[in-house]
Amino acid sequence: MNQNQEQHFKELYQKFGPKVQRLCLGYTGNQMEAEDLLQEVFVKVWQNLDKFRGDSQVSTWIYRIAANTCLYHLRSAKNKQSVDLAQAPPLLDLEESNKEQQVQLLYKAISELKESDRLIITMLLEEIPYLEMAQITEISEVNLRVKIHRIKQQLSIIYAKYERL
Amino acid sequence: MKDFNALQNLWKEQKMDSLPDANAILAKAKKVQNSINTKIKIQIVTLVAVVVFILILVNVIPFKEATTFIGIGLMTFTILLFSAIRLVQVIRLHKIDLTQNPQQLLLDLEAYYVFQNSINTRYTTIYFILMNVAFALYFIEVLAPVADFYKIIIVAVYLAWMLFAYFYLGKKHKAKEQAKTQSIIDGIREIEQQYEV
Repeated sequence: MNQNQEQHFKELYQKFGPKVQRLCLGYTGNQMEAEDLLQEVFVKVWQNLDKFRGDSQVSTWIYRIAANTCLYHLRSAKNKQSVDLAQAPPLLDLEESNKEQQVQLLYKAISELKESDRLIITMLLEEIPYLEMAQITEISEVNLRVKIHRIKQQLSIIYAKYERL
Repeated sequence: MKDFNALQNLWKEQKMDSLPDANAILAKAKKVQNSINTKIKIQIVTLVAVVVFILILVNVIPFKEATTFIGIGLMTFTILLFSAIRLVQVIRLHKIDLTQNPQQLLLDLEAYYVFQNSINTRYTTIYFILMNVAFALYFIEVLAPVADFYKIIIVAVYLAWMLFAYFYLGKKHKAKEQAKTQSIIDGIREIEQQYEV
C-alpha cells in the first residue's frame, strides 16, 4: 500500500469515522465496545480498500462493513445489551445534564431492540437515505420501509417507558 | 411520549468522543494482517517440524517391530491431520468477507461455527482415539524390555491419565466450548430470522 492509499484511507476515516462511531455505539450501547468496533471497521476498510471497485458509493461500502462488523462482533461476545450510563462524561449545567441523560436513555432504548433493528434505526437516525440503507442491508426498499415504521414505533414506546421511570 | 423526530434531534445534538488517531488505526491494521500471517506461518512450521522430528526419531532409534512404525506413522498422520484442520479453520475465519451482503455473512459465520463445533466434538474424539491406538502400538516394542511390574505401572499411569483427561478434563472443556459455540450459532440464526420479513 502506498502513501496515496494511506492518505485516501485517512480522508475516508475523517469523513465517515464519526458516523461509523455512532452506528457502533447505537449497536453496542457501550462506549468501549463501540471504539473497538470502530477500529475493527476501519481495519477492514484498510484491508479491503484495494478491492473496492466503485460498484456502489464508498459510503455504502463503508457502512456495510460497519453493519457486518457489528454482526461479526457476535463471535467475540454474544451481545451484552449493556448501556454504560455510568460512563457518561462529566456534566456542566442542568440543561446539559438533562440532554445527556436523554441521550443515554435513547441508547438504552435502542439496546432493547433486536440486533438487525438496532443497525437499521441507527442508520435512520444518521439520516442515511432509504435507498442506501436498502443497499447496505440487502433488504428491499419496500420491506425496509415496513420494518422502519415498526421499529420507529417500538423505539418511541421503549423510550417513553424509560422516560417515565 | 417523544415522536421519532424528537428522538432524531436528540441524536443529532449528542456529543461524541473524538475519533482515535487515524495513524493508530493504520498501525493496528498492519499489525492485524501481520499477526494473521504469523499464525498461518506458525501452523505450517509446526507441521514441518513434526514431520522432521519423526523422521529423525525413526532414523536415530533402531526400531524393529512393524507395530512401532505403524504407531509412529499413525501419530504423524494424526498430528498432521489435526494441524491441517486447525490451519483450515484459521484460513476460513480470515476469509470471511465483511464487504458482502449481511445475510451471506451470517450464513458464512454460521457455517464457520458449525465447523468449529465439529472440531470441538467429533474431530477431537477421532484425534484422541487415533493417538491412543498409535501409542498402544508404539508401546509394544518400547516397553518390551521393561520388567512386568514397571510395565503394569507405566500402562496403568498412562491409562489413568488418559481416562481422566478424556472423561473429566476433556468432557468439561468440550461442554464449555460447545455451549459457547452453540450460543453464537443460535445468536446468528436469530439475526438471520430478523432479516426475513
